[in-house]
Amino acid sequence: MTDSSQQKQDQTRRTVLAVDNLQTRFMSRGPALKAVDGVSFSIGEGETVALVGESGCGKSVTAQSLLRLISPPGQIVGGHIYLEGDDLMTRSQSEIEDIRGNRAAMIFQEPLTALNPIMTVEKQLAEVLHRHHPQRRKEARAQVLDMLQKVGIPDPEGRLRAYPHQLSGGMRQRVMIAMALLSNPRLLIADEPTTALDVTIQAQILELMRNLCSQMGTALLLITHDLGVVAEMADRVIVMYAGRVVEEAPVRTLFAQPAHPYTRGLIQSTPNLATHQGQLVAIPGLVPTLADLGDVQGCKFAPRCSMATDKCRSEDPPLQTLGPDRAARCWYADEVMQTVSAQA
Amino acid sequence: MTAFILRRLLGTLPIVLIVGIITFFLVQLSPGDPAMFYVSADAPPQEIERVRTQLGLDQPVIQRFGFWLGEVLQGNLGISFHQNRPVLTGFLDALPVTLWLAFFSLVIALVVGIPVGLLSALRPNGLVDKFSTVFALIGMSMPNFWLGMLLVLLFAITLGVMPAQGYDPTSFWTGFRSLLLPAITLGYSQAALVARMTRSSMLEVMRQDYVQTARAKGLRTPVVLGKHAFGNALNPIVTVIGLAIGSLAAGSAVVEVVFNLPGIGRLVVDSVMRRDYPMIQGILLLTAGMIIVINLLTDLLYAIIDPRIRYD
Repeated sequence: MTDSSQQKQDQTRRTVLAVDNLQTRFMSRGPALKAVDGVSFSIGEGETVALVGESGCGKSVTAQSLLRLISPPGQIVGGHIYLEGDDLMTRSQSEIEDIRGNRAAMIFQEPLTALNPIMTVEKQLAEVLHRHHPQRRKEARAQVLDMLQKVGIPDPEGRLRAYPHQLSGGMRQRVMIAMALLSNPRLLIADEPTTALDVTIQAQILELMRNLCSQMGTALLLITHDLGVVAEMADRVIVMYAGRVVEEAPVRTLFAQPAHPYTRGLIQSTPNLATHQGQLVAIPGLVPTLADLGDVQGCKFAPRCSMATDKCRSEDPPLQTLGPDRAARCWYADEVMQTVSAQA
Repeated sequence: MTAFILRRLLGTLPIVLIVGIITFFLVQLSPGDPAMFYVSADAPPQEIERVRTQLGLDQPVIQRFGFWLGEVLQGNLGISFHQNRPVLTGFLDALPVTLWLAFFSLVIALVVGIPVGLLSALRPNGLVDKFSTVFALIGMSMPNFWLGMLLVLLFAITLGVMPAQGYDPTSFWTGFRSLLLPAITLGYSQAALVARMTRSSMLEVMRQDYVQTARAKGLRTPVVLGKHAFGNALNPIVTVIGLAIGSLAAGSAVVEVVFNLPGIGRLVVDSVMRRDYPMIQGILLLTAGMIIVINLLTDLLYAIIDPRIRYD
């Protein structure tokens, strides 16, 4: 699909999730730590958006904030989360609980630990239906079986009475997906769903998620640090660094012409057989810890950036729109795009 | 499972045997001549000698041990010096009081300990948690007999609402009244232990991913905590309860003496005072056996709570 036809499709899509200036902090003895610092993005119906970044960049906290699953000392201190137009920030705890697992569901990274070890597969799945659709209690088993079949679990009837430890990692993640999709959610948040799995299983699970989400028209927010997964799955990509969005672009554009030095660094540090030209390039330094961030004047990436100038070190760049669906938080975004084109 | 139980039960035999050997010789080592307790103070030496022969104490220790062991293996625990009737009969007479006492203490330990632990885990370092820390610290530090005497002073002497001592078995209610203060005395420290273990186990479990999953499913907080978190937090709590039952056996000796209850604890203390060798040995052997069985039951309970634990 070309970028322009993609854009046309985006415009006709109904927005499922719109996040506006989300701010999540962790209260500590010193100043509050800004784990998510003014993040905004949106996802349309049936669209897959990847949220990318290194460990500690705030992508998981963003994901948890969306369902308001942050618990103290973490706290959402500002912003809006619109799910099909409803602002979740204004909802009561009880209303949020009605939405979780129902209109918006979540899959976690570790299928080994994300399922309750002392409950059978059937109980854990049926629980979702009992909670959100109590009137359909009688059909629960049939629905659970149907969903287990859809996620490709062989002998679903036999698995109903299995405990999580009796299933393989891939099977457990399939069960997690089944659990998340049982209520036919409008939004599925998958937090590193394949990181803990074997590569061969990874591909199967991603394929499964993509197929089910497109069948059901579910918007998918895929959180990952794996650019291979991003290239495979995403329609659009949001790159996060130090709690902020640093770049946003359709997936092909992002890989062909990154506009932020950090994105370029991420792409260059990923092995690629097709364009392999000698050594991988590592981004020097580490993601600053949240506690250190307060000390960074100007652009948060400047200390690790090879292009940083005095301006970068003193003035914090805003997220600048570079075109339809494109934005980057860099004073020199145009130059970055040009250098990449020149290299290519 | 059955094989496991049989294997464990067989495995208890050597333990009981070792307990038997140790108690037999420990009792023999204790100073004092039992015969002296069963004659008048000014009895002539011949009289003392006659009683010793009658009690079988004139035989060498090893010979007596062999005889005792042979009888025990045939299910005969011997005749009490003092009560002059089979040890088992004396034991069974005293057992109900101690079992009721242990039962009520355990109920107190669970009914108080688990909710207090849960509440403090909900808000660690909150008001309830701080209060319960102090409650638990006192519970674990204060000696049983001291708490017992304080309770007697307050409820029996100052307020006069509870009996100070003794056991009135006329009805369940009178029995319950006699056992309430002793049960609080015994149960308090156990409640403290259960509360601390519940708290730490819950805090541990509440950090687990599956609790997050449960919340992400939209389950209500009581369901998340009660079903998903507490169910997984149970095993360490069960361990503490199993240990608590063991220490109830020890604690009952002190508490039954303080409250003058005719239970096993009192019986063993009295028997030691009177150098009633067969009774002491019999009680220790039977108590050891009971504790071993309780430990076995605890282990079986683990497998019921957590399907990952299997003994086959």
